[in-house]
Amino acid sequence: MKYKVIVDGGFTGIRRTYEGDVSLDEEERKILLSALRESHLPTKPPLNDGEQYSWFLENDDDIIEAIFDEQNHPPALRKFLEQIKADQ
Amino acid sequence: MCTGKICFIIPPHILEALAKQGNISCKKALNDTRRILSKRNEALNNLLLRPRAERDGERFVYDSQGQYEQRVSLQRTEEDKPSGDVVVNEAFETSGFVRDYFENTFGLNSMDNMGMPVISNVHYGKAYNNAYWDGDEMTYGDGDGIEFKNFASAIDVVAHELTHGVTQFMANLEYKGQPGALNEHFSDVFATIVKQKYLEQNIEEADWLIGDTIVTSAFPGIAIRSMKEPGSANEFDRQPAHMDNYYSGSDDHYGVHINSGIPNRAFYLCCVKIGIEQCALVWYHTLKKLWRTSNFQDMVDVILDVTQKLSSEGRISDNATDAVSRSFNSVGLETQLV
Repeated sequence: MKYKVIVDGGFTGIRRTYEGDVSLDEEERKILLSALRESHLPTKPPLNDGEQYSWFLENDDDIIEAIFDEQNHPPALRKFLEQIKADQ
Repeated sequence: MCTGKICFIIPPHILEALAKQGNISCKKALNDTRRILSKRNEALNNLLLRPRAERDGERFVYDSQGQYEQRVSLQRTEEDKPSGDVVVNEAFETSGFVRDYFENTFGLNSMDNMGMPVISNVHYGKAYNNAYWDGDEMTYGDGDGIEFKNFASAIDVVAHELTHGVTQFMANLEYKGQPGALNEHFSDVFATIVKQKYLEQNIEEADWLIGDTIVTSAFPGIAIRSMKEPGSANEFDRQPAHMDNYYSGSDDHYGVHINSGIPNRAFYLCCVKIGIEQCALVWYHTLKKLWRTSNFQDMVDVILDVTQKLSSEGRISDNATDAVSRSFNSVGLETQLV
């Protein structure tokens, strides 16, 4: 699955882009896509120095995208981002 | 074999699993852990329920234990001896230093001037390269150890975050565009002032950098931001030092950490002209007078009014208004003296 994540803002204000292609089994793919489809409308004003996460995942021929704030970043996506960072 | 001593450092969910298997010593430890946790939570709740006027900014430091959660495990309060965790102790000391600076300099009783507790969370998340203020408390990652480290130990980071709390209860500047850049600016201003106090430096000795101690040698730069030369702290640093280079894109909540470079540079220039103590007074009283949607020009108008008033009261020097005016003119912001 092709992915692109842009991490923006935060105390550092440094914009980072992580892009690549990973091999996922069907269950992992389902969890990620489901997390991306969660309601991501912010329920609170942005946190001071909170990060913003823009996600783009390729599913078949579609690209599914969503933007999350620090408060509503789904755990499954956080975990996936941790893995991406660790692999770099 | 599980001894009582070992069980005390084992997380409750493991203790619970072992206790369910019939381990008496773990059962006792689990009960003790729960009793201690319950007592501490009760103490904190009682404190929070006390009338606001009785509070005086007590510190609480929690360990997030690598989770993306706040208030996971209370590690240190005003009554406790230093913890075995150096990060907990550093967060405790630095937050106390910042709280005391605002109290001793401006008579401010914690961030809300009503003695609200100063709550810090350390070891947040995994390799988390950030620190933030969420409206009630501060949260710090440990950094990835590759490019970033020790957010909670850095006096300027702690002062920056705690000042977001002060701003919230004064001007409550909204976190986007120019009001957001001013919000960031005030946090960088008081981070700089407190850092120089903490290090006992004068303005000639100071480096005017923000976040120099949280970057490693592998990071492509010397710090996160520079008050003296915005845009020069690292290879990603996009801060302009003049309105001619104002960022008008949508990144970073429309540039809150980017355009703050413009007033940051004006602050530095003003400090050089009249000294950091007078600037601290001027900026503090300006923050008190701003409002949620204040933009750069609003700030310039207010800061000139404030400076003239403080000067007429003899609290700052006669040349301060001219110095403030020239500093903002230098970064491309027009001033109109009344």
